[in-house]
Amino acid sequence: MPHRTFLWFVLPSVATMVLFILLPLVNVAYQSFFSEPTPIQRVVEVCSTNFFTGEKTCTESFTYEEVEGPNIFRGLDFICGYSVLACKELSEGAKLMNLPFYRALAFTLFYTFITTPFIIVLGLMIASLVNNLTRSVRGPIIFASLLPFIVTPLVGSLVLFWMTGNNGGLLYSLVNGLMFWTDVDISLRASATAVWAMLATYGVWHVAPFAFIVFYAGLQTVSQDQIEAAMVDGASVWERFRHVVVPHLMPLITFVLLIHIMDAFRVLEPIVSFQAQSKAQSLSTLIYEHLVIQQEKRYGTAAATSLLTILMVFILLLPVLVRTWRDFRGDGRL
Amino acid sequence: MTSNRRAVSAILYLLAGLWVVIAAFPFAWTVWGSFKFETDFFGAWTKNISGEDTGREYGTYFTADGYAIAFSWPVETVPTLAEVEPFLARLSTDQLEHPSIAPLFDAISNETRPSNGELRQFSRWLRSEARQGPDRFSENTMQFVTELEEERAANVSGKDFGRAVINTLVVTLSVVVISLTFGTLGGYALARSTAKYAFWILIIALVFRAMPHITLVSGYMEPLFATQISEIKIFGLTVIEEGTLWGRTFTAVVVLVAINQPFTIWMMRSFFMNIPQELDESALVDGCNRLQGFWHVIMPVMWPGVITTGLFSFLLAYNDFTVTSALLSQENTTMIPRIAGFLGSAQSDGEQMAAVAAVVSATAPLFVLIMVFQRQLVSGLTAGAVKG
Repeated sequence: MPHRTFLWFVLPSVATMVLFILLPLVNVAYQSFFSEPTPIQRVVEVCSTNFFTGEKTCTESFTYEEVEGPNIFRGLDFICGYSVLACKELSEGAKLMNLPFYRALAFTLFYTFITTPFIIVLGLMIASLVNNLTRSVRGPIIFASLLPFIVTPLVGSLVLFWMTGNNGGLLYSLVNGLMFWTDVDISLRASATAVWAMLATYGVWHVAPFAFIVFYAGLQTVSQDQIEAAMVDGASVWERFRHVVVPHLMPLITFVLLIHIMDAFRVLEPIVSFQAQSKAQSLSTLIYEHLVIQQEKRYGTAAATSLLTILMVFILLLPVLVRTWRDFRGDGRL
Repeated sequence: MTSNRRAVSAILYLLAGLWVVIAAFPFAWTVWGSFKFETDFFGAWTKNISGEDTGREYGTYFTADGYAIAFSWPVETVPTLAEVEPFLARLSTDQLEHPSIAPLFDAISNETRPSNGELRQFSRWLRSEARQGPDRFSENTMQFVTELEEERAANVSGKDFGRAVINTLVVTLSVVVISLTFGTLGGYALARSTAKYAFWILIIALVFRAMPHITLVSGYMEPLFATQISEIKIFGLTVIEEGTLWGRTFTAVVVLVAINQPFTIWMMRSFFMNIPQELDESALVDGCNRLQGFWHVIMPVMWPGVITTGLFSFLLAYNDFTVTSALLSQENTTMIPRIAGFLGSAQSDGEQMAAVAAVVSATAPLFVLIMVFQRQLVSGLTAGAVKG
């Protein structure tokens, strides 16, 4: 395709991405280091004399005077601030898990890496299960499976959250019924542990259907010859699955991993739905709090947190990017 | 052997059934519960099934009050005992035995407080009787009935969710149309080009796809607040109001289109890759230019791909919470941030049930979407995967 034609075809798409993704990213980097000049604080003394006693009372009040002018370079003020890397607090010996950024990072990593194996294994199990059923029931099962995945995350997590009520909600009763040997009342909302577990459960429930559908599609193209050859060689069901089916699905497993890690790293909605900000913060909810919930927007802090988040996403993706690049160099096509 | 196989097959079906219940039951539970009184839905699970508090409050086992409050429809009010008593005194013994009245009459004669459900049932009965003919009642009764009806018409505290529905419709449809137009053109060029820069565009798009949306929002907020635009009038009609760029529907649409592009061009590209290149070459030989060839030869075979990609663009815009909640003003807000707004507000006056009703209303279109487009959704989910 001639360069000029190519340019015209991709222009609208590339222009929107440059304007509304690339430039904002640059702005995030800029805002992490620069901010508007700080308003000047002035102390004003307001005095009044009591008409009857002649006593003079004065009160001090502060006024803030906005300063016009170019943005000021703040150095590491934002990135090292309390809500982000907390350099000062750390050097003074503060505990890592008492600092908002590190707590959010811990939860985000927990959510991403605890849900991943469950999603892959559950997806594989359901896919091989459905693949063994009569064709006529597969449609309805796929329909039901699409629900948790397609339905809006905020809505889906609310639907689960409403079932966890401590006064006999269905999931609460189910969990306590299954743990009948302990007398301890297991509340799904009270402790941080329970909330983290519930959020991870939601994550698995939400994404396992996606893994299932991708793997199920992959199972349709497994070579029957190989399966039969393995059967002739006396391979058991498990051995056939392990040595024929799983290698065939490997590229799909990588694909699901890639998509899930990208999406899990931005987890936000379930925490809002579960009203769990006091027990679980993710990097996204932390930024959301600085930007949307706070009346006085903390642009610098939000930008610094965003910058670090973007860097981490990039590091997580690096192996995949390197592999894609190698593939491209190998045969010149993706 | 056969009985063994049958047992295995039975277990498989049982497990599949269990999965279907896990996947779909929470939604069925919520739809059912959205027609209950709040202490039933949020209380013990047995109460959500039996609906005992709903009965006590409404005299019926289902109520659409949650929906009425969410959409600002008229809500039935409860008459007070003092309002009702004079009419009760005037009814004949025959009438007092009517099943709609007997519980209320019993409660009063036993000197216990009648439940709201009993009072509601009585006023409903009175209204339905009055509708059958004015001669059955005195002027007084008729006036009471009219007053009740008027009160019904007055909103208790509507949540105006209908507005959010319309906003969602506008935002999602605009996003789908624009992203598809841009994405189809871009995806086609990327599928047909073998140049190195095409590869780099795709890799950079993949990196963009991975950016958490909230990090982009933190790049938008300040410039959007800072940018003032002036009023634009066409024939005296204000098309664009004066103010900042923040809060406007078109700002959110443009941002969502941009966030959607990486995914859209990747997906469209993978669909275009499946269309043989000979097809556009033959068009070029026949004397079409690239755009004509694209429109007359390629597009007719591309519709399945366009529909599938469109579905996913729709879902991205419809399901979005981050961008819409951060960038839209209160009046332009869409359904999902609106629902999140219900959660924070004081939990009184059936507001919680309005949230449940709103959740069900927001899920219903997706339910229909999956029913109609199941095949396309599945092919779309796997389209990206096939390449690995």
